[in-house]
Amino acid sequence: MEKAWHGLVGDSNPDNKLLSYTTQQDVVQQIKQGIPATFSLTIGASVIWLFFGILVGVIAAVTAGRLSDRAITILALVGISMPVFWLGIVTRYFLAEKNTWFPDGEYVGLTANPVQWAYHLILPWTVLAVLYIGFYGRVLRNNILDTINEDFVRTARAKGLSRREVLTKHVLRNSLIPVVTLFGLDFAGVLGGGAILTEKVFDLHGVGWYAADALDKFDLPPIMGVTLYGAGFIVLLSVLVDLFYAYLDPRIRPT
Amino acid sequence: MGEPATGTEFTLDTAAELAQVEHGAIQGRSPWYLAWRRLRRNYIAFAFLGLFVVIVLACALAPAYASHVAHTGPNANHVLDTITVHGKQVPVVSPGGLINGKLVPSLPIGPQWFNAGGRYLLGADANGRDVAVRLLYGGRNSLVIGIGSALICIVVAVLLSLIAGYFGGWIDFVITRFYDLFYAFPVILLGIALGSALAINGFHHFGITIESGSIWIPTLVISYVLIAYVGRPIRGQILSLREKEFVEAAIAQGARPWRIMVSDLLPNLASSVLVFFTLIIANNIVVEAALSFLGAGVQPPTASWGTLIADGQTLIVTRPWLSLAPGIAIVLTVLSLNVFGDGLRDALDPRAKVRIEH
Repeated sequence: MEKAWHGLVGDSNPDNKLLSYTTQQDVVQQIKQGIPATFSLTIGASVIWLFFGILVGVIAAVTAGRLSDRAITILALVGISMPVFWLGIVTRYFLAEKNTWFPDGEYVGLTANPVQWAYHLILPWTVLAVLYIGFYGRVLRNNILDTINEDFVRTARAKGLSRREVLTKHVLRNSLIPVVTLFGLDFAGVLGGGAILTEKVFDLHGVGWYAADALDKFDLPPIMGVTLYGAGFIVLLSVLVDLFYAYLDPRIRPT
Repeated sequence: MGEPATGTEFTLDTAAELAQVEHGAIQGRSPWYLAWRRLRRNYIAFAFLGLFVVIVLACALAPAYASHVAHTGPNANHVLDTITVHGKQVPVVSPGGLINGKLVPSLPIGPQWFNAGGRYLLGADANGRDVAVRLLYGGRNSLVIGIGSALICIVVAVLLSLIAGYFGGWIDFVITRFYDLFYAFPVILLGIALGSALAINGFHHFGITIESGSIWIPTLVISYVLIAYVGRPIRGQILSLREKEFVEAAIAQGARPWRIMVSDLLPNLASSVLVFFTLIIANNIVVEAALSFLGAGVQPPTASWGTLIADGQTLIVTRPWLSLAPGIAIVLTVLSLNVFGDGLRDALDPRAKVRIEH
């Protein structure tokens, strides 16, 4: 580990720090500075995408085959097919530049001004969430439709539970398990710099923005640093997801 | 009265007749035919396949459009030129200034639609290049990269997964750990790290030389980054197929591993590989656009939909079409592939769980 780090940093560096080629700043320090913006963006967006993803998936599954289901399916596909950076540029142009309803990019610290913090983040949150809402909605819809035909659902109905109770307590609980796995990995990915496109488009000076900015100058050390930082988050969250999985689904607990 | 209809004639050979009737009623139909029949009824999927074909044809005809309609090339600058619009001479790029409170270094001509005889249909960019021409040429690159990387990715992933799933043991262990390694990195970040490192010097190892501006670099980077995402589900399928009786029978007959993989396992994978291929192309076009937008994919002056969006971003307030047009092209292409891929999956295997998840 020590040796690998040394190989990455190079011999010419006495402090054993990863330095940027262009600015000579410590990469680890710069990544730390980007963390508040990245975390604010990720946490807010993930709340939105999880809430609306589940809502959309349940509505589509309950009304499967009807008009609302078809409309949701098509909208979800459109959402999945849109490149997030293009959606960001377009919303920023129409809502923040042509009509100045929202602030034009930049990040305001949560501790500095909570209202401005949320106001500045509404557009990036929504843009980042659109892709995942469509994706989660589709996955959840298909899971619910698979689960609804299982024997235990019929048993639950037969013993007199209402449709609503069966849906929330039996079907949804089982259908959400794959969504939890997806969410853990996506959340880790975005937290680990996966929101690089959204951060770049909205000028949010987070970890991803730092990598994108370094990329403009072909400054490799920050890119390597951010990539490793992202990998660290994914490994960490994968472990947490596996543990949470065992809590949710008693069938896979070690005996 | 004409002749009596054939088939109603009475013969003494009742058994043969019955067999004939039965043969007509119960026909052996291949799974591919059944899938085709299901797909044929899905008009929406076909409409979107048509849209994709139209986009591919339009991009394929880019050189014809460039030379006969727009009279310029994809990388030809026209900063100092003028064109005739409604009989008046208009400069292609005018000097900039303060526009809507923002300082604009130069102002290229906006969309002319058909006022300039087909020239500058969607306007010009900051270098005076025809955006419509660049859009079509960029589409060629984006589609070639998307389809090429999907092809490489699928072939490598199927090969690795076949070997891993069939042999199991330590071979499987090595290949699965190789997949896990990819899963640990965010796709875009790994793509950026590889793409930017290769974009500086190109690739000169193992006797293979790829120049730094080549579109082979994004193609290979994207296929490399996504191998695990295709390989893992396919390996899972092979593991379950491996336990089926027909594989056991083939082994009992003395068939060699290679033969079992190609003639027993591969045909059973064909339908999910086909669906994967369609969806992976769509996915790769988006990844290519993202990498090129950030500067780690296609390198300027070569056009691609991602670089066009990036080029247009600085002029978004005054000339929004520079970024809007390539984005719409991406959305239509990717949407058409996604809808068709969905239809294909429903037709081939209504109960399939093949999904690209990352």
